Amino acid sequence: MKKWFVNTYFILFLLLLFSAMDVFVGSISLFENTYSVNTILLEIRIPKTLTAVASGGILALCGLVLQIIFRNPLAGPYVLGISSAACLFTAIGIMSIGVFYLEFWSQFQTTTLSVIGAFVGLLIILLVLKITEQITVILLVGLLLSQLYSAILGILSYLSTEQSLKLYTLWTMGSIQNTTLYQALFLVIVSGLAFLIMLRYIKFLMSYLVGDELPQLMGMKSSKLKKQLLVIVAVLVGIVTAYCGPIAFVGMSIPILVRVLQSDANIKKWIVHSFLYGSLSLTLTDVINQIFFNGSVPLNILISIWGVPLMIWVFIKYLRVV
Amino acid sequence: MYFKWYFNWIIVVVFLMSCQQKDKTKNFFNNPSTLQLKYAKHFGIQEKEKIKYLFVTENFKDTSWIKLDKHYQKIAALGTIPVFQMYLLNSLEYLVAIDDIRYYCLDSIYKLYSAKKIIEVQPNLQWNYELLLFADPDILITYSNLKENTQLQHILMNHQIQHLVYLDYLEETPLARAEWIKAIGALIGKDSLANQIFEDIEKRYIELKQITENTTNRPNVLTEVMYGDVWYIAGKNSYIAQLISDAGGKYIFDFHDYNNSRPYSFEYVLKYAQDADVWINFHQFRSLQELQTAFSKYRLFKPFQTQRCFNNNKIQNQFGFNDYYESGICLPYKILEDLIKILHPELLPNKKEFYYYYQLPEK
Repeated sequence: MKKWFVNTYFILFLLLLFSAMDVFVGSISLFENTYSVNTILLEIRIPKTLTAVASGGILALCGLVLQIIFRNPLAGPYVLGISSAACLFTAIGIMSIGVFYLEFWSQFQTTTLSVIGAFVGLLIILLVLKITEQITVILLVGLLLSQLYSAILGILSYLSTEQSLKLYTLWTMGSIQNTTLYQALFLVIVSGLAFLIMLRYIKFLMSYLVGDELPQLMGMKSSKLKKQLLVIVAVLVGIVTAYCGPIAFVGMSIPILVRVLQSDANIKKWIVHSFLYGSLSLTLTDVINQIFFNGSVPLNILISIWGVPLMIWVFIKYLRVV
Repeated sequence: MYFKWYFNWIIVVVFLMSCQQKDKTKNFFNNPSTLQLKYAKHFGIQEKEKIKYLFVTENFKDTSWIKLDKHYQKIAALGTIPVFQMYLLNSLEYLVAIDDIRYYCLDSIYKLYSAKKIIEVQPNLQWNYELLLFADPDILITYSNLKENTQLQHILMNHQIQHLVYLDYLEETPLARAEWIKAIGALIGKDSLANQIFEDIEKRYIELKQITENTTNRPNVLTEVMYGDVWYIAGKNSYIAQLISDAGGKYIFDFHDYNNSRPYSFEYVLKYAQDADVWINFHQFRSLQELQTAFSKYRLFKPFQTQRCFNNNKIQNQFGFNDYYESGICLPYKILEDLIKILHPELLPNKKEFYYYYQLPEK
């Protein structure tokens, strides 16, 4: 337990360090006084860092919950088709901006569509869950649905104009810098709420981990709680996807990493660590991007390039039952 | 009974609403204070209470307005065409930012870039908002409206940066696209120079067009190649169709009644274009061999066999971006001259060199 606390503080320290670095590193030096420092900090750097911390944490948390519920390390927002559905709906929104564009609605357009999309994706998975309880079948259906959504997207892009296609392609590369300060603060609040809500479900998740029967024996309505959690996850994924686009890697890999490193099945520790590692991964990626590439590499590309080899190494080194 | 009464009213209201909308769409082009443009349809200049405004419209319903109460002297132009038009107006000193240096063919841009007079604000398609603020432009010129990018909109609003959406690519004729130089001229206060340059472009274009006007022999022209499995075909009101007909050719798909590009299958194109006389615009391909390696069935077309294939990427920068889409679009008479030389070499006996085109060699 003592070791765990030391670990947690260390990661927290790293997160703070990299967040601070992310705020101080960029294309413009803060010390040369070439431009109003306040503007740069308040309008660009702080929103970006807050977005990285919040969305990384949310995605990793969602991934963790999905992996526990589906009892499969492959489960993640992306695998179950939730992200893809959110993408599809957002793409429909982006590509038809010229068609039904309304000024007051534009701020909420992508967010709303993305959350609706995540819900639709989740509803379909819940329908499948009604027919079969077999996790493998559900995961397979999720993967297939992901492909279906991409196919529909393909048809859309085939019909759309060059301009909106470019916009959409940009959006799919994922980005943490396209949020304003208020949006970033909103994401931070959402991530805090997500964290607190997940803590409330610890008892259920803990017993669920042992077996299907245990929650019922303990007097909990297993299927109801499960559905509640899934709905929460859909909303969270929808919100993050709306602001940052589909972010790869974090949702699936971070929870696995946490569970590999943290061998005793303590869900509270997993939740805390998933959140911190998720935030850390996105913040670190942005710091690397700013220092070495002047911020010009798309987020999804960079995170996969450094993240995937690291994950493979960790898996091989700590080869245990995931 | 009540229902009927109600229903009639609905019809009347709907009718009135539809009338009102129609009027709205027409008013700014028929307004006498609008500066008359000869060809361009998607922008205009209008005077209201002694202040001039530049307006841009995508669908002839919503317009965005830019107040021309001052001369814009710090311009962030993210696109080769507005930048080249600034070059034509001899005003590159007003340029403070571009999107990505790799897209440009113009030498002056590279000089300004290495002298750190201009900076890239969207390298690799990734926005760099810090550098945008650092460049501190009065006006940002982009090709799309970027309404969905809330962070950018927020920055533009907070720092009073005007935003001009450059919709030249929606215009249907080469001269209309070239006429957009007047929009740049209006921004930097060089209206008369812009008019003068455009008149010159127009004069040269029309002179060339007149050469081919009476030709009866009009070769069939096929354009473009497949992109993936799809062949994007421009309609009869498109830029390229207009150029071909002005150059004395017959665009094969001139029965396609639309103005953008739409996807078709290989077989569809083969059906109509197998016996084309000339084939132009091959994107990145530089030889017939390359073309055949990419997709062997291209050889079924007659121009491939007779080697009447011409590509427009004679001048490329080191990153493979084509000057045709930079200076060519701004100076369309050069493209027209090339095309006439391809389709009717006998009409331009003095022209030796192509500007943008060359015949695809076998290897």
